[in-house]
Amino acid sequence: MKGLIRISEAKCSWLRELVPVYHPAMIPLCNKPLLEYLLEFCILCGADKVRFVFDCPDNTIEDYFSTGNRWGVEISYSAMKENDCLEDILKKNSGFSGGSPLLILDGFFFVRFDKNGTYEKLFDPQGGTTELCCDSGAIRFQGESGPPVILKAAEGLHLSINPLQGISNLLTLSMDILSQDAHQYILPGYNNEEGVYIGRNVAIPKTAKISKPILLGNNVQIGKGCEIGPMAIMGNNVIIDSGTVISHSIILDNTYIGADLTIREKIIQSNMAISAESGKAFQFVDQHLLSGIRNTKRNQPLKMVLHWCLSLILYVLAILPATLLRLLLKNSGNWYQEKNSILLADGKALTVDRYTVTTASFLAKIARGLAMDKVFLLPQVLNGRLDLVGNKPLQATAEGKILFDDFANYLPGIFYFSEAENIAEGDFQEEITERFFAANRSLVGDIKVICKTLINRW
Amino acid sequence: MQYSEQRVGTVLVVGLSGRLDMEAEYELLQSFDTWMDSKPNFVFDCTDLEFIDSSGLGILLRILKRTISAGKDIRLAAVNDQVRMLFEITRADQIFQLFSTTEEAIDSFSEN
Repeated sequence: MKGLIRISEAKCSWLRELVPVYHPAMIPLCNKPLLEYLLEFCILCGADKVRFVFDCPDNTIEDYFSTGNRWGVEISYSAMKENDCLEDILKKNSGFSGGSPLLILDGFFFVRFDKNGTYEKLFDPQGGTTELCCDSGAIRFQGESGPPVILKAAEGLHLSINPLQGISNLLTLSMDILSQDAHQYILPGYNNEEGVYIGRNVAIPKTAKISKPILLGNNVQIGKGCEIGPMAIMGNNVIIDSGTVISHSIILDNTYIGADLTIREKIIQSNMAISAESGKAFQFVDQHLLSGIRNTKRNQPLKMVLHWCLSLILYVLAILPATLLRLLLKNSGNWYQEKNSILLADGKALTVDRYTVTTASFLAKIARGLAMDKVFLLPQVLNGRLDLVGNKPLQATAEGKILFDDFANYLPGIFYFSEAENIAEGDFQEEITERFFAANRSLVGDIKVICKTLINRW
Repeated sequence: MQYSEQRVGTVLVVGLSGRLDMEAEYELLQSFDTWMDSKPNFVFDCTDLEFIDSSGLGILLRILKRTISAGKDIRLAAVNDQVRMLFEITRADQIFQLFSTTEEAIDSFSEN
């Protein structure tokens, strides 16, 4: 038997408007794309070849499903016109079906099934009475001859379809899967306790409170004192800052949630918050509340090379004047030096000289304004221990190590965001600001940090 | 940001319209100082308030703090969905009392 899954844009345009970064077929339900559930159902029904038909194809679908090797089926792709009816599509794909029995999933809906169910018997003409259609589509079966008919489920089989017509459907469905039906599907993540699914590279501090059921994706960082769950689903690359409470909500991939917030019955994607109750979406302009997380890894080698080159240039240009100024200012008591033990990105401690320049004299003002005190740290960038622009280095103390354990993407730098933002040392805002920077850094952002720091120093 | 003022008994109903953000800070706080001369209770009518960000929320919190220290209170009325969501997410809905209509907000003072 073969399977054909058709999702037309008209049936899911509402979702496209709310969450444009996802093709509607790829919208995650418990961190697994909707289309994957449909594919798995086709496979359970006995399909060995499945064709996806969309009027608005998207590369992300082909990237994810490829040829179907992962599922042990042959997947192919086909396009359709916006107004094509099912008959048109069957005609166009007659080469694919080739007269063999065809299971057609037509519409935008979710199929509730059980991974342990035997669905092949559905194709028995003497089957049960439950019709498998809903407001937003139907499951049809076309035998070797004759037109497609709406499939009838056999009694005792766990099978129903749920329309997806609004954001509340998505939230309810995801929560139902997580809380009641998790055993019926293959959900991503490790699961050694009922109602708890955790992906790779997840950091949860001791002070965070987790209430099941929850599902956390890969690369999830939870801040101190957070309360996560019950009914919280987080995608991949999610950072939740300290003190935030999340329940009955979905946080989609690549999202930063600020500190001390309450997310309840919402779907959050980047800086977009969608209320499950009203179905309305709002884009937050305050990046410290909600924001996206860029995939910085792509720029990493380029950034490292640029930082290294810039550090070398700065060092060559500034080492002589900096040494001269240090000598002059040290003698006049305006240049202080102390040993400082800081934590590197790998958690090891490094002792560096920390310089402080007063603004008591004109010369001292110049030295401070030109950040001459930082010049002596540039060799640490050249040997790869520090970054030119990064986070404020954490002290290698017991308290610093606790902060380090809970600090995603920590990368100590000579220039850092909290200094650029003029946040007083020791201020509680400093930690939040540094975490925000770690989650949102970019090359342009790095340049801004250097410029703002130099301006502030005057 | 524009304001309208209407006195209903001891309550000053301030209609906020436009965007409540950093740019509105100076003008709103100056107006607030004037309004506080008569030490009224406040109802901020948000029917025409199109947008608020965390800076705007900060302004409202400062106003609330000063109003409470003068022994008075503030109610917010007719907030739109965007404003309500910001209040929910930032937990400001636990600090401010929100009402569906201006009338309900005004009546809440007499109930107290």
